[in-house]
Amino acid sequence: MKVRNKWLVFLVAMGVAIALLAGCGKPEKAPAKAGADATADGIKIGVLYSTTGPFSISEKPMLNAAKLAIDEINAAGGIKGKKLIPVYEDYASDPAKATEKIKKLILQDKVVATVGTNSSATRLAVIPDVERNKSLLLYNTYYEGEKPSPYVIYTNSIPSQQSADFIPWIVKNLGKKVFFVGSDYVFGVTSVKKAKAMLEKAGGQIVGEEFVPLGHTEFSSLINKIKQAKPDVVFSAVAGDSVVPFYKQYQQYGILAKDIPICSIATHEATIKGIGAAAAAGHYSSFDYFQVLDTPESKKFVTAYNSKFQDNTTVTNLAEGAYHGVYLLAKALEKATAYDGPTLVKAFKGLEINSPQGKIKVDENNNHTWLQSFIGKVKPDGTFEIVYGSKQLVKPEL
Amino acid sequence: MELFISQGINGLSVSAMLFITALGLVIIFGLMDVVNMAHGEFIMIGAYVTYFVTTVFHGPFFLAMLLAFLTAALFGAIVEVTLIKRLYGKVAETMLATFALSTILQQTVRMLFGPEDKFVGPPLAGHFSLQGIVIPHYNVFLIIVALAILATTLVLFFKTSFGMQLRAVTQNRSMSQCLGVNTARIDTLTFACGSGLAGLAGALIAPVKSVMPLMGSYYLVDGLLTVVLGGVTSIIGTAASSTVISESVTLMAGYMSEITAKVLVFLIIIVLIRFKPEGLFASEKR
Repeated sequence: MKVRNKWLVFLVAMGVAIALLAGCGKPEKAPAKAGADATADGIKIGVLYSTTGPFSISEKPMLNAAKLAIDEINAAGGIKGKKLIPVYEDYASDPAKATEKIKKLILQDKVVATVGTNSSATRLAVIPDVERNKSLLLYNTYYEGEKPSPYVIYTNSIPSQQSADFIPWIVKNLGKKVFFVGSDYVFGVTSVKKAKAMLEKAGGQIVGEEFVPLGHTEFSSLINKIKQAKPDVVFSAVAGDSVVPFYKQYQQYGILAKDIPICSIATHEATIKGIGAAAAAGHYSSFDYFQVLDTPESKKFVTAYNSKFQDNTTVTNLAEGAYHGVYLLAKALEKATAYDGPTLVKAFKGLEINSPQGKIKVDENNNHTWLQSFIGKVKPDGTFEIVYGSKQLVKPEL
Repeated sequence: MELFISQGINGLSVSAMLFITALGLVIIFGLMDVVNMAHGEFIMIGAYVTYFVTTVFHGPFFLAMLLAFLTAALFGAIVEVTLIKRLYGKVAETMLATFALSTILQQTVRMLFGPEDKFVGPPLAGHFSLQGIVIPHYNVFLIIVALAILATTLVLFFKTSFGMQLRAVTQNRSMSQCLGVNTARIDTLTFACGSGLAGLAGALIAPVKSVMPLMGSYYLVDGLLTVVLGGVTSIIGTAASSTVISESVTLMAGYMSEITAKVLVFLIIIVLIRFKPEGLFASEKR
């Protein structure tokens, strides 16, 4: 009896696991297969994002946006008459699994390039295989800007780009005394380091600097220290799951956004939803893209995204990054004479496209992208109001 | 001095929160010898119930607290009957099974409601202000609720017949069975009670923390730490150890980085456990 019970539990658990896996896998795999059957002479590209596990908070919208871009490109006739054939892989938020998946994409599926990965841990985990096989990765997330690979095209911002316009603007419009906070990992620490250097150049004054562990949710001590330091502004590179509790508790402890606004480089539209309009209103964020941008490309992108995907996800700069990443890839494929990694990388140099954020351009030398820069202020209804837009593209300075 | 007092008062509400999030774990771990790795996910269930009651249906917060407790308790009862009951006495198996349960619950919620944060607003928005020291109303509410939960649990365990039977089962299972105690029913009720408390914790932290599929995982480690320091069978011990941990972290964090403070407190706990492995406030167990 006892043995049978054990088996029963095991069977039930397996059944549930299989049902769940089947549930996640289905929508991803069907279109890839259909595409492969329909056109034998398409161009295969890998799409590597997690729809399961903790990373899916950022990667689900990126996957959606990449799908949208691929569908639009194919609907418009593809690349030189050839359709893009996406091969979707879900690495379940596990960087180790991502290395298996990238090998499968490159060696078995023979994709010409892969769009994807989001956390630095995952990117660094797949780069050795991308380099070894002379393949290509399009990385569409803002990141710390360190250890760039010659086989990766970085299409989102690096810390110098996020702060280049933001810091001088803060000093000019909000005040000189800045308190720096960040999550204690490579993105948070590097961003704060770069921003501090820029603040000194802009004539500002550093009145405090604090880091909190990644995933930290208790901010009363930090808020007390901010109060003691009496800054004009809090510059925040607090990222991930800490953002929502930070803003909620900031308001709870009675600091008003009009007295000491938070200026963040990691708080986007999706996080604002979790913070709530009341606690987010009056604070600032800086990104290369905001959903509310008033360009025809942006409006088209947001409308198409929202009608195609009703899955409780939000358009952010990350989604836009994946979207313009795929368009950059399409343009490079059009320009390239051959589809091997080194030739493709060359095709990217100096490449320009019109994206939802406006014109963007891949740098001639460093594989990073010249981007727009916007500063948004959260309105009482929880949407951003653009209070600043750069006159020219911001250079990716490593 | 102002910073010290202010941090001390903050520490009280942090303690209250830690106590609330750890209590369910203590009951299940201490009384049933089950390390419930899915404890955080019961907290998450409570938080999502609160999201639906307050944000989606604009219901009152007290209703959310009640429903969060009941939903998580019902869920706990189902889990106990279908899964845990078959694994009693096998610590490694229960840990693995509940860990799997935690992953399944996280991913199910993610697929049903999306991966992004859900908004739960503050039920009490204002704050007291005394000579530069700010105390949010909600923090006072949390401290009062924590004390109320402590009192209720103590009464339930030491003044009711359910509590007496429960303690009897913990001390000598086969003897209680011989004396006519329905141990299976006691097990289910205890597990449901612990899960329900986790759900209630989820409701209480939702207004000040993030509400998302992964949220529960952040409370498991601190919860286990509290349980180990307090002594696995003692409810008073949990209250005391959550206060000791939170107050020391918060007071130290006023003068050094949050990370250093936490590391130092962990170190102290490791040393303490070396010399008092049964926990600071362990009650005698036969």
